[in-house]
Amino acid sequence: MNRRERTNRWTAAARRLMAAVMMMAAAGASTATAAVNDADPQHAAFALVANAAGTLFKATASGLHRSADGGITWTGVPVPGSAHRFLAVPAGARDALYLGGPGAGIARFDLTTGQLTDIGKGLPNAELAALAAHATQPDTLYAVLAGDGIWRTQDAGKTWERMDKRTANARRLIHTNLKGSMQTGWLYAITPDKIRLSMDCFCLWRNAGALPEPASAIAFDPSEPATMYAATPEMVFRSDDGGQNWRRVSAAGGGVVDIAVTRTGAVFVLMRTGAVLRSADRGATWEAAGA
Amino acid sequence: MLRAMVFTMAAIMVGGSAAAAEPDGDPIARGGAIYREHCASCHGAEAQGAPNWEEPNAAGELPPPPHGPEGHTWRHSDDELRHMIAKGWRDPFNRTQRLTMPAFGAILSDAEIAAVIAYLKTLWTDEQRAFQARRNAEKNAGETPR
Repeated sequence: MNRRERTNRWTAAARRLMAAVMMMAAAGASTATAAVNDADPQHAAFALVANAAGTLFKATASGLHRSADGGITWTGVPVPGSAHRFLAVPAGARDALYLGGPGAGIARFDLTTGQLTDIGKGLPNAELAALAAHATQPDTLYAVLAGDGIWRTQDAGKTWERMDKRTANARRLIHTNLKGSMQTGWLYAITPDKIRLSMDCFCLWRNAGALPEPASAIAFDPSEPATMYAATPEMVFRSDDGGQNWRRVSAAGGGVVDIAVTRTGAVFVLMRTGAVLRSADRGATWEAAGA
Repeated sequence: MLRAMVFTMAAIMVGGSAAAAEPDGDPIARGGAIYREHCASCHGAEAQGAPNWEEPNAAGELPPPPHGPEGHTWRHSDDELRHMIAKGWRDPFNRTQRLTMPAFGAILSDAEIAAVIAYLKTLWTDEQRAFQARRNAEKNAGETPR
C-alpha cells in the first residue's frame, strides 16, 4: 500500500468514525437535540432532495444549500423571502426546485435565473404541511394543506384541485413511480402514527408495513422504486417491496429529518444538526458527507 | 334529470346511438340488471362492498370495494373503469396468483360494460360525479396517461 492509498484509507476511516459519532450523539441525545433546535431555530434542518443530476439540496434555518459533489462541500443558494421547510424536484429537472413552508405557500425557484415564482395562488391558504413532486411528470405537484387535504396541480401551479380529504394529517408525502398503479404511480404519506399509501388516483389508502415508532422521513430509490427508506427517531429502515415490509438497516436513525436517494442508489440522510451522511451500501454503513 | 344525463352519457360512450346502447330500454336499469347478475356477488347487492374492504387480507388481497360515495369508483375515469371491468386488475401487493378484480371482457360486451358504468354513476353524489367528469376531461385531453 502506497502513501496515497494509506491516506485515502485513513480519510475514509475518519469519515466513518465521524459519521458513527454523529449518529450515536444524535441517537443518544435526540430529545436534547430537538430541544436545542426548538430553542435555537438557527440549528434546525428541514429537507433534503437530490435532482436528476445527483445534485443535493438541503433546506435549513440558515437557508437553501447546494452540493454537487455528493455532499462533501455545500454552497449557499440565495433565495428571496423566508426560509422554506419543504423541497421538491420537478421530475427530471436540473435547474428548478419547488419550495414551500407553513404560512409561506409554494414557489417554483429557477436555479439559473434566481427567480422565485409563487405557484400557490390557486390554493385556499398557505398552511403547507407537506409537498411532493410527481416522479415522472414535471408539472404535477402535490401539496398537503394542514387539516384540509391533499391538493394537486398538473400545470405547475396554474390550477389546483383538492383530491383527497382523508389524509389531511399527513406531515410528509412522496410520489413514486412504482409499477402497478391504476394511474401513474403511488403516494406515500407519513401520518402521526403510520405510513399510508395509495395509488395516485387517491382511490384506496392503506397502511404500509409497520415501523416500531412513527416515521420521521421516507424516500424511494428512483431507479428501483420498490426500494424505499424510512427513518424513525432511532433507526433507519429499508423496504425492498414498496413499503410492505421494513427491516432495520442501521441504528443510525437518531435525529434524521429527511432522506434522499440519487439515481445511482446513493442514500443520504439529513440530521437535525444540518449534517449530511451518505451510504453507498443501501443503508448498511454511513459516512459523513459534509455539513 | 340525473337519469336523463347518465342515459345520454351512456349513449355517447357506445358511439352515440341510444338504440345501440340499450336495445332493452333504460340503460341504467339495464346496467343495474347486469350489475346484479355479474357484480353483486362480490360487490354486494346494494354495492356496499365487502366488510373491511380497505384492509388487505393475509395474502395481500384487497376485498371488493363498495361503489357508492364511500368507495373509490367515482375517482376513476370512464376509460379506466372500462379497462378495469374488461381486463381486470391486479394489485401489485397481492401475493396470490389471482387477479384482484376479475376480467369481464369475455363475458360482457362494450355496451353492457357502458351500461354498468352508467348504473354505477347513479350511486355517487353530485360532487363525486363532477369530480369524475373532470377525470374524463383529463383523459380526453391526454393529461394523465396510464
